[in-house]
Amino acid sequence: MLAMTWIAGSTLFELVVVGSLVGLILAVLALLLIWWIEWRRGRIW
Amino acid sequence: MAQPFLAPGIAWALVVIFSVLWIALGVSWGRKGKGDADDYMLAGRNIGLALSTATLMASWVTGNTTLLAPEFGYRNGLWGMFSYALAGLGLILFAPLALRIKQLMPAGRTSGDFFRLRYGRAAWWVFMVITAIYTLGFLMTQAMGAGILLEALSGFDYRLGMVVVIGVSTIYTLYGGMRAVVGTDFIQSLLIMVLLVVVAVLAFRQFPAPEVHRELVASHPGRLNLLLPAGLLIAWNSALFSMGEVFHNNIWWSRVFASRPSVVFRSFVFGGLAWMTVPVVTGSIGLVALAQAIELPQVNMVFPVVASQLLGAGGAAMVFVVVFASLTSTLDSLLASTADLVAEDVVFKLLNPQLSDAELKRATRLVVIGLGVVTLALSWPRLDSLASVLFFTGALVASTIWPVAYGLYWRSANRVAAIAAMVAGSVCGLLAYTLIAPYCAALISAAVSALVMAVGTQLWPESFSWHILKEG
Repeated sequence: MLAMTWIAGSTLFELVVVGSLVGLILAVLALLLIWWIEWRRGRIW
Repeated sequence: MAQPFLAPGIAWALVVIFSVLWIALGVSWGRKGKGDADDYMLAGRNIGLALSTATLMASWVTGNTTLLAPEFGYRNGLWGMFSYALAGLGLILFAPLALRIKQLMPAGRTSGDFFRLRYGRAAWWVFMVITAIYTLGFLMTQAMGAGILLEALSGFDYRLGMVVVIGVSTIYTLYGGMRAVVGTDFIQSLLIMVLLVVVAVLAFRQFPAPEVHRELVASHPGRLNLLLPAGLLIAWNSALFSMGEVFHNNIWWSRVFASRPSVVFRSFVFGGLAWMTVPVVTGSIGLVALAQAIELPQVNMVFPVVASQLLGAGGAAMVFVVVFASLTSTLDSLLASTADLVAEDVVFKLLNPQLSDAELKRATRLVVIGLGVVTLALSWPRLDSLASVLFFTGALVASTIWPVAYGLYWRSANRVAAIAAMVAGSVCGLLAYTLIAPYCAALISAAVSALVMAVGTQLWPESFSWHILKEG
């Protein structure tokens, strides 16, 4: 059987690594920003 | 026993600091609000976007996400990471349903309320059996995971580690109810995310991504293959398994009822997207270990090994905190939402409908204690293979996806078809698990359940009155 192969290139690999890290950092910042806005408006709970 | 990654003294100090913090905050937050049963079970039904998103994130980041996802990356490469990350689809795809639930059941408390009111008592029993098996398995894997992980990380005795994690989660859930769970989840999710970023950034500073890629191409090119057929199959199974978990389980339904209507949809989408980055980040740590040929005593310890080898004692301490926060944040959610389900659906609606509000709150608290004790008792004998056994529940939970979706959107959804869909889906999924492969179970179960639900509803349509759900 012919094995299907598509090896991810260096750029794509870096994109996955850096992209997931940037996504995680943005999630932390967004969560803190939303919390701060809601806290100022007294809308946390 | 292998040498622990962290000195027991440091591990004890971390356990004491975070245990005191969680209990103090949990008890303090539990004093807020009106103090009635609804407040205890659902945190006042008005939590905002920040807490709602964070509690979804924290509950979905289990001990497995921080330790199994790197193993997936190590063993299966990019597709291993992606397939684990696709479990976040369960949260994202549940977002529109969550909004619909909030609109249809403004006074609802549990997913059991939905099955009972929408499909009747017989369907409720089938749902309860499925959710009981899944929830007990989930509780036990988290409890046993706590014992095994703390032993490997810090040299704690298996039972001591388990008692500490279950004890702490039970105490603050007992005193603070859902407010304690949601509040601590916010801090736990931030801790997990920030520490993961720190570990990953430091690891890739030492071994930059191009260097890791070069090594993988030379020694393990298969890990970078984006057309891995088994990878595609595992990815779809992972997505369907997670949909089954989220669509039926009261952990997620209780978050819907606890959140403000305006934030429900956004919190599930944002929580799912944010969560998806975690297995990719931790999975890439597994690839660093592979590229650098780091020696591993056990492959599921790849994350702590890499962190401690590259970053020393500080790295091991960070992993310990991430794992401790992941375990407590998942266990507290399981304890609170399962106690809500048992108290509301069994004690109140089934056994004693005359229960007063104060008695219902007391019953919920007793169930929290009972669940903590039962989990401890069941997890006392150590079973290292339980995590893989849990995968068979994928066959059960995936069978609930279509009965839930049909029941929320189609007035004509047939109640007998819902029962048949759950039973037939579960049976066929279990057969596929045994006869074909474990990663086919959720796929087959969801497909059979969809077919039964669609045919049954088409041939014998009913006409359900949506206002019945408002009684929930």
